[in-house]
Amino acid sequence: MGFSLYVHIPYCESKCPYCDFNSYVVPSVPEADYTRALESELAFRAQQLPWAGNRIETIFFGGGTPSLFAPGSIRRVIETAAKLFGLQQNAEITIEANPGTVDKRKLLGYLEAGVNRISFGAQSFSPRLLKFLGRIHGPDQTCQAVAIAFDVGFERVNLDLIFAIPGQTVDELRRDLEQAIALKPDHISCYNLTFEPGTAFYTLLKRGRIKALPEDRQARMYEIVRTFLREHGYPMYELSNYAAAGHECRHNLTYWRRRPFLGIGAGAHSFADDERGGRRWWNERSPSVYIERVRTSGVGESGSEEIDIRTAQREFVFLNLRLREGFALADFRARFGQDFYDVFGSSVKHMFDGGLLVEQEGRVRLSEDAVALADAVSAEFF
Amino acid sequence: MTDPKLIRNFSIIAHIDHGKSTLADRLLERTGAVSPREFQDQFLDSMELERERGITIKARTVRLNYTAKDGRTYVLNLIDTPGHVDFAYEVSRSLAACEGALLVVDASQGVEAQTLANVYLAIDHGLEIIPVINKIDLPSADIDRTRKEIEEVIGLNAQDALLVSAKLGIGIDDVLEAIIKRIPPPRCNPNAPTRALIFDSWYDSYSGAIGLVRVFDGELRVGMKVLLKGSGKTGEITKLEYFTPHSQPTDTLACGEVGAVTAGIKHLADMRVGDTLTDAERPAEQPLPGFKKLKPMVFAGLYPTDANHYEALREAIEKLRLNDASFVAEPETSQALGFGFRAGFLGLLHMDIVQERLEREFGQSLIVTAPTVEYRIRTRDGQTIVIDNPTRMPNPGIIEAIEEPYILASIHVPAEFLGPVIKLCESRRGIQRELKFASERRAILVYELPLAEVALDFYDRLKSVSQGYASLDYEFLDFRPNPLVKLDIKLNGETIDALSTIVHRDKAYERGRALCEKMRELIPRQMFEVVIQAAIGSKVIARESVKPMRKNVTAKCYGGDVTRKRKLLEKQKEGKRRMKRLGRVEVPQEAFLALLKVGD
Repeated sequence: MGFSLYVHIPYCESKCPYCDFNSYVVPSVPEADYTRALESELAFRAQQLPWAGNRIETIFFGGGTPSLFAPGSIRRVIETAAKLFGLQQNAEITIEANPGTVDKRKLLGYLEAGVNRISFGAQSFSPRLLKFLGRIHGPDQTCQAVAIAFDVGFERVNLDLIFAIPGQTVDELRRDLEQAIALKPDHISCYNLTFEPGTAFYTLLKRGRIKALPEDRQARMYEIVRTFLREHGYPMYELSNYAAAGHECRHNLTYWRRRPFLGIGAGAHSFADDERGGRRWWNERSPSVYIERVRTSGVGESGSEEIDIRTAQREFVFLNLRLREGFALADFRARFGQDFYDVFGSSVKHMFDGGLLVEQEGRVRLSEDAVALADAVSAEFF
Repeated sequence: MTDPKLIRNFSIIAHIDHGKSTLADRLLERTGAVSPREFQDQFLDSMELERERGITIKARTVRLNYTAKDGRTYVLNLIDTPGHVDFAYEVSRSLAACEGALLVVDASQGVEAQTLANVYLAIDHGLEIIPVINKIDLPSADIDRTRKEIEEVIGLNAQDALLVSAKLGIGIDDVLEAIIKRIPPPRCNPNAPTRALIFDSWYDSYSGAIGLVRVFDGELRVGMKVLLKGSGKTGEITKLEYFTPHSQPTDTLACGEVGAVTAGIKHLADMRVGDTLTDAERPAEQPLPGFKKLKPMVFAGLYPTDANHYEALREAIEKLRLNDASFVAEPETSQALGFGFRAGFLGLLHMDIVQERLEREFGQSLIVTAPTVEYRIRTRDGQTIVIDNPTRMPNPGIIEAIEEPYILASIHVPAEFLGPVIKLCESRRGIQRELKFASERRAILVYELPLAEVALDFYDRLKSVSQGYASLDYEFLDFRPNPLVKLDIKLNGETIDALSTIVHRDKAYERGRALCEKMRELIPRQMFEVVIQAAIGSKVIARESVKPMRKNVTAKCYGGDVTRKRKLLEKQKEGKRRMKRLGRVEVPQEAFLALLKVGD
């Protein structure tokens, strides 16, 4: 069975005030040391089950800002992974890029290194909102970057957008969506802005310096996003992801379907399933400590948890419910040897009765009304 | 045995925070009863709950030995009192055990309300009252004004009030001297048949019921066969003790003395506060005056939040009842809430305390339903049914009349708050019986009021309209017929039996509207719309709705950090566990008590 590989590049030119991902602004990025650490980790995991002997189906370079790394470094990681595990024929290899950090030469370099999908952090096309979000790029740079990507030969391009930004109007949102589809990406991720502890926005919010949009407005915006993108050929296939059939991000599907993935790099998470409930683990978050740890022990792991079967069943449900297609009852039974309704029936009956969950053709999924309530619905499984 | 002339029995009356406990601690310290090392602040309040709420629920006594300036050693019995209208009867029994009281008034705050009720009670019992002006060390202390207030508001001579700072230990000796000089010694009939007043009792798992007594006539001896005049139970005294505050066993408690009696009485209910203990072989003819068997006034359902915890709740209630004879509970079932109990309380504070103790000491997660009083229903075929739960209201077709309990309420109130207090009583369907002035500034209002109007939030409202100065004392009068109706609350069309109440017809609309509005505030937005309706029979009289939540979704899954996401969902679910799910509606605990939160 194949698996997915996540590679975390934790460096950024500047820290965005809303971002709570594991990213760091450092005076000089230790690109060579870090790349070596990634290769060592790969070598270490290649000796281990369940990875040894399995092929890689997708690779995702996430961050941070992976596009800070030169194509040569990215190529080394891909080649090392291919050599150690083998790449599936049509493997999907994605890199996240900040539109402000790429040029033609770099993009061509990534393509030649084996990357076949590129994800640009556009976030918005409003100069005012981009500035508010602390982005280093302008809307023109996004348009240029996308144009170059197509020009050098990328066929799969994603745009990341953020909505429900404080002060954002519905019209501004519509304009962002219009500009995004005008660039003809094959995939759009559109995230509702959240205020996560530890971010600058969170502090500002707590101090009353900025205000989140009212819940009802956010809900309306979410609806606009879904409707607009569906009408323009990007149906929602996951709560924040939109693409035509066949253009979904296969890598991210791995997470939502609760399939195994290996994460390498600072703060990366991994999951390996087993006959019990599986195991999740995570790497040391600090890049310098991570590099040091890999150098001495060969691996960056700093914590883990064993998942019991009941928790695994809950994970399976809440992850799959993020997908518009939900999950097949047969898959639940195949994985756990128990019937979904035997496990959860009585505690979630009211959600079927109330039309939040629907069963159709052997699959369970959120109803259209419940999409915006996914967390509330998921929490009922706990 | 102490010469009764050398005994002084007294209590301390004070508003919360005016320094009663600190003063008590100083007296204990000064007389050497407690070493400074033992001082856990405020020795008298023993239960954690009491300490947190600043209320003394159970009276305690301490015997202090004080060698006075006249060279003689006196025995001072400090009798502590609870301080809330729900426990007015217990307070009155504690005061009946005393000959005098210290009235502690904060020099910076002046006379406050809570004090008044107990001062009047003490005056009624003929106690000698010694005003003590405390906290004279505070920069904001105003001794003259405080004196004037004591004279004007209470009508006591305050010229010889004692000036004290309990915190700094100033004036403590004066207090002790005043106690022996101004408070009379107990009057005793050592040769008369024994009579001892039980002014507090509690349950001990080894000894059974223990009574705290004041001996008025004769004496109590270990080995003596005793009779409880009120309950008719007999027992043999196995243990006599007094507290210093540590327990000191003794062979006798003589006339005028105070102590605790263990006499093989198993149930607290047989050793009631106010009962008289006498010699079984030479019983007194008359009990001591003032015995009242306290009956629960307010009833409410107690249900476990999680139906699986019924057994645990039952055990907890049984244990609690051993300690609290005024609290009664019978099993009942509710369509909405499943198996639970119908419980009776002296009043709302008592209900609050029981709820808190069940939650805190016994770890129960509870739903308490809207409190109600007892109603008497006369049916067309001549039967009389008593119900303590609105759900049991029979079909209106067979009802001839519904009768509700009335009380006679005496309210002491400073003249300036008379207007608002009268308005409050009138709005509660009260009938004024009397209005008299005890002094120029102090009025006594006597009202007949339906208990249902008083039992809920009357006391709090009374306090609030009089800025805390009015005091309330009441006694049961009779049952009277009134046009009463059952008001139901429906959630999404389903009548929730636990939310039904009985109200006066003229108030039903207003109450229904207010209840629906309150419920709307208390029920959080959830996945489904919640329609709240108030109805009388099949007629809906008010409607509100809680719009469904619009959005509850995390945009990102934090890369592969599923652990974090899962924990957030677990937390979200945890928040819901404190709610009760009725059909599709999640109802928070406090919504069941919405009735209490409906303002006037």
